[in-house]
Amino acid sequence: MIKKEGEDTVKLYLNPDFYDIETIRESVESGRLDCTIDIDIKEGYIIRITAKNATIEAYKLANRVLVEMKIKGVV
Amino acid sequence: MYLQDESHKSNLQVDQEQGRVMVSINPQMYPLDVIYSAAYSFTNKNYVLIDGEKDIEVIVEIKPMASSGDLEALGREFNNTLLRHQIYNQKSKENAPIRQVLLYRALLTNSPPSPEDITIEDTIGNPASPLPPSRKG
Repeated sequence: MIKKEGEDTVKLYLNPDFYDIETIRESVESGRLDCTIDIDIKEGYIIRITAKNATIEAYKLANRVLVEMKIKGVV
Repeated sequence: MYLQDESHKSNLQVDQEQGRVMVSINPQMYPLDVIYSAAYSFTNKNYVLIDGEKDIEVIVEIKPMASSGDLEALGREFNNTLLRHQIYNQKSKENAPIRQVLLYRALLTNSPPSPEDITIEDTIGNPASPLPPSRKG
């Protein structure tokens, strides 16, 4: 789920049942985005992304995490 | 817990405004590894997000990278992909013992015996003998 926060900021919610935190961290680092990661017990992993096309960047990040998880054999 | 009101078609919820389709999947029908495999195969041309509750209902959000396209058809294609991966997994499990036997047999055939294991008697009349002609007979 992606929620808009402002003009250039979105929050990407990734469910810990489906996404691996280590892979998220690595993907965020390799994506060179302006991001912060929070972990909420109810909401899961919350990645706050500030970028020009923040929504599309959030989708790209989610895709990258999924691909990396598959490549690493996490899933 | 399938999406069932009028705006939903089968297990699909099309969101034209946002340009995305949500696919609801029953995890009792499709295991998570099948869902991941299908989702992974869609990442080439689409953005894919997985959400939901892993034991009750998995929601896969698919948003095409190119804005044009039939979202409902995309969702149905995802359903087909799920089924293909499921069948592949099932067949793969069913054929695993036969595959093991074939692989074992193939590896065994290609392993030459060490020279110490071959007696002169074994090589007489055997043109495929690994021993040089001087040692034969």
